[in-house]
Order: sequence, then structure tokens, then C-alpha cells
Amino acid sequence: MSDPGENHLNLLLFTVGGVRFGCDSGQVAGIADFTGAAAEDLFWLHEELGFQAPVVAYRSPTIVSIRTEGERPYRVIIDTMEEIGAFSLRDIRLFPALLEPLALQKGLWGILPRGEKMVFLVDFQLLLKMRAKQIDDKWRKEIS
Amino acid sequence: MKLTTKFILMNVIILTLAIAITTCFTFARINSEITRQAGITQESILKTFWALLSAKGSNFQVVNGNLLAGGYVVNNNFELPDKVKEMFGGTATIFMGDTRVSTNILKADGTRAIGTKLTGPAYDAVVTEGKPYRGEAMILDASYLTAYDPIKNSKGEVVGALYVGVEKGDFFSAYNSLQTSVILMTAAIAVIFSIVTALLVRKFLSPVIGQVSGITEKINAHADAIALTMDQQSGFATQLSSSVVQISSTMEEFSSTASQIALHSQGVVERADKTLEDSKNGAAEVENLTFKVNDISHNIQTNLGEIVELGRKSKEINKVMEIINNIANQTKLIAFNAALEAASAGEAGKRFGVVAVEIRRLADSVVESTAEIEGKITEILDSVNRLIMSSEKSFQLIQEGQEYASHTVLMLIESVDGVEETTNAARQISLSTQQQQIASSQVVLALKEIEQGVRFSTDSIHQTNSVTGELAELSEQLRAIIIALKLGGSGEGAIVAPAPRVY
Repeated sequence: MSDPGENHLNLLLFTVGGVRFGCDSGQVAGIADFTGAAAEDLFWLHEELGFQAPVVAYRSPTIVSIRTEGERPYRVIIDTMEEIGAFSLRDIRLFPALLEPLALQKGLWGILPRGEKMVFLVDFQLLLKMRAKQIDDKWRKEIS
Repeated sequence: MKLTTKFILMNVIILTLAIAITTCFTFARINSEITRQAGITQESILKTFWALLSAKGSNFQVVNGNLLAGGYVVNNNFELPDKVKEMFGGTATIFMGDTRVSTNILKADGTRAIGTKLTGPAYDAVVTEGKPYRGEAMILDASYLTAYDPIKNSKGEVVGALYVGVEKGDFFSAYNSLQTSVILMTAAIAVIFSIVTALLVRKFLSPVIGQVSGITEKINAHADAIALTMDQQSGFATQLSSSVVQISSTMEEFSSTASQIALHSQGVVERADKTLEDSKNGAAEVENLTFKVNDISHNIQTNLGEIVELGRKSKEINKVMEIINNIANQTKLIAFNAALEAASAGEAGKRFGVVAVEIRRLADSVVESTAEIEGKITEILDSVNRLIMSSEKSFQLIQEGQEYASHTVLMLIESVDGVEETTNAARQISLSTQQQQIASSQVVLALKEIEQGVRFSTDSIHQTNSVTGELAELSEQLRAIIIALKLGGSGEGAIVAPAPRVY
């Protein structure tokens, strides 16, 4: 694990549908195996990101519990986890201004180049905000 | 004229002739007897005449133109001829030389026939030859039985003759009367016989003729049928003879062929024996092969079980590996969570984070190792599966081979049985062919005898044909005769024209 100093960020790297993603490990409260049981607070990441592919295969579906400020839970199913480590902020590239609004709409905020491949950085809090209303409605229904 | 009429007439004629012949014979005997009696009588008269003359004198001589018996002058002395006539009737004469000198024969004018001469054969016998003469003679237009004895002197010279004669009519009047009666009676008998015969013929012969006519027609028809049959038999016999000759030739060829077949059959028997032995050896070898294949099959089955067990154990290892993999994944999750906690702990969790990373790396390593192991196990399972499939295929092939081998054994056993049967059959064929050869030779001999018999039969048929032809001709003749009997005529082709026949 790299030094998580001021110039570094701890990232959880994983893949979904063959695309590498990464997220701030601080946004993750825990990781658990996906048993197949559906729940109202459980979402597939490819649905959250709006993958255009009709079918996305998950080899090792894993549930990532996202830290939330309220009582609302938010869990996202990702695929194979690859690494948790500290990465230099200098290595992280933001989207061009032209694309940034569109990327942010999908919860993507930057890119981490790793060799010849790129890791798309996901902001689950941003996704949570976009899902907040839907999640709140479901959650309230369940509570009521 | 009807033949029956002719028959009646012939019968009458025959009867008449028979009666006539019998009568003639009888009359001839009577005539002969009368003639004999007349001769006896004449001899008695002549002896008496001699006795009377000898009583006058036994020395006969001619003296002075007179015939003397002793001293008794005979010339113109009619005592003795008259006495003879008085005693016996008839005529008596004493000749001197050939001249009548004493006689009781009277001329037409009533005078005695003195001086007339003795002529003819009586003269020749008595006067010339000095022998007695007996015979008939016409005296004064009457037939007489005459007897002349020569009168000889003491020297034996004929000096005269003594004659007695009886008129034939005296002896034969009754005979002539009887002859007339017999002729009349014969005629009457003939007439009666004719009538009776005609009646009998009409009553008895006509139906018989009718029956004979019918029988003749039948005989004629049968003769025709026999002729036709014999003609057919002749043709058949000719064909039969030709066929027998052909069959004989064929049977000789057949006998020759049978000899060759017998020879070849013996060769076939020997080859069949060899084949039988080879087949038995082959069956035993194939049976051994079947046992070996069974052993191989058993071994393969055992190996297959072992391989299946290996596959099963490999799968169990796989399950263990899955468990290990799950544990590693869980460990990895735990390591990730620990790393997350370490990251959130900041500097304090740095060392823990390092451990978590190491644990995660170990887990990754385990996962990689288990993946490699899984890969190897998968390869092993694939190999096992291929081996199982190959073994199953081999087992299946061996089973098929086993079935083929068993089938082959069965076939070979059947083949052995078949070859054995073939051997027996070939042996039987050989024996049968030899018997056939013998039988063929016998048949050839029999056919030759049949051919000879057919030839004899043909000759007999020809003879029978000839006889049938003669029978038909006789039948035709008989029919002609019957028709002639019915209708009259000669019966020789005038009424019946015989049907044409081919023999």
C-alpha cells in the first residue's frame, strides 16, 4: 500500500464488464459476497453507470456497501476486485471540460492511467445523490 | 338265286346223290348177286345138261357129219334141249363144231334155229381156244346169260359145244321193278327233304345268319379299331424305339459323367475333410481369442472403473479446490475489508494495511494457485473424460469385437457343423454317385433290353398288323357272304366293296 499522504488517494480498483474502475476506498464501508438475493438498496454498477451493452457478465460479483450520512443504505454490485492502494494524485487525470459534465452525470470524475490501460474513477457519493430520491422513496415505502 | 335256296338245292342234290349212290351200290350188289345166282343156276343147268348128255354117251365124236355121244346122234335130236327147258326153262343148244345141231331156240317163224353159227367171243373161247365161256349175248333180240362148254373127243379136240342160256329178264324183272320203285321213292324223299330243309333253314338258319351278320359287322368294326390301334401302336413303338435309343445314348453319357463326378466327389470329400479339420482348428483359435478378448474387456472394464473413480476423486479435489477458492476469496474479502479499515485508520492502520495487503496477496496467490490447480484438475478431468470416452469406446469396440468374436465362434461352430454336414453330404454324394454310376450302367443295359423288346414289339405289331389286315379281309369276305346269304348273288364283290384300310 502506498503512502496515503496529502498527495495520495487510497483507491479500490475493480472491474465491471471488462472495464476497470476505481473508487475512493473511504467511500466504502465494507465488502461482501453477492449471494444472489435481491434488495431494494442493491444496485448493479453497470445499471448505475448506464452501460450500453445489453448483457454484462460478472465473474465474481461482490457487494460494496457505500458509506452514507443518513439511514439510507446504498449497496452496489461490482465485479472482481483487483487492488486497494494509495495512488498519487498527480497520476489521476480529470476529464476534459468538454466531457466532464457528461462524465459527472454518470458518476465518473477522473481517470487513472495504469500502463496502457485506464481506470475510470467512480464517485459513489455522486451516484448516491442521483439515486437519493429514488432510494428515499423505496426506503420510505419499506419503512411504512 | 338266294344262297339259302342254293344251300337247300345243294342239300337236296347231295341227298339225292347220296341216295342214288347208295341205291346204285345196292342195286349193283343186287345185280351182282342176281348175276351170281343166275350163274349158279346156269351152272346147275349146264351140269344137268352135261349129265343128260353124258347119260347118252361119254365118247363124243363127229361121224358122217353128225355129232355122236357114244351111239346117240345129237343132230336134229331135240330131246335133251327140250328136257332142259322142261326142267329149268331157258334155252339149250348143242353145237357140232360151231353149228347148232340141237336146240330149243325157236326162230321168229316158229322153227328151231338149226344150222346157225356160233360167233363172237364165245366162238373164240370155246371153238378156237377150247375153253369154257360165260357171258351175255343177244339171242333173237333178247338178252341172255349164256354158258358155253367145249365138247371134246377122246383126243381132246373140240368137236362141238354145249350151251345153256337163261333170259336175263327172268332174273332181273323184280330187280327192274324194285329199281323203279326206289327211284320214285328217292324223288319223293328228296322233295320232302327239300321242303323240310327249307322250313328248317327259315326257322333256324336265318336268325343265326342275322346274328352272324351282326357279329361280322362287329368283327369288321373291331378289326378296323384294332388296325387303327395297331397303327398308333406301331407309330408309338417307332417313337419309343427312337426315344429309347436317344435315352440309351444319353444314359451312356450320363454314366460317363457320373464316373467323373464320382472321381471329383472323392476329391471334394478329401478337401471337405481338410476344411473340416481347419475349421475346427480355426474355431478353437477364435474361441481362445474370445477368451483373451474377454480378459481384455474385463481389464478395460476394471480400468474404466478406476478411471471413473479417478475422475470422481478429481471432481472431489475440485470441490475441495472450490472450497479453498471460496476460503481464499473470503480471505481476499477480509483482506480487502482489512485494507479498507486500515486505510480509514490512517497512519495507525498502516502496518495493518500492509498485513492486509499481504494477506490479500496470499489470497490472490492461493486463488491463482487454486486456479492453476483447477486448471490442472480440469485438464486431468478432461483427460480422464477423454480417457473414459476412449476407454468406453475401446470397451464398446472390444464388446463389439467380443460380440463379433462370439458371433464368429458361433459361425465357425455352425460352419464346422456345416462343413461336417458338407463332408457327410459330399461323402454321401460320392457314394450316391457311385451307386448312380452302377444304376446308370444297369439302366443302359435295361434300355438296351427295352430297345430289343421294342424292336420285337415293333415286329410283333407289324405281324399283328398283317394278321389284322387278313382278319379285316376275312371279315369283309364273311360280310359279303352274309349279305349274299341275305340277298342272294355270288357274294364276291358284287354287293360289298370292302372299306379301304391302311396297314
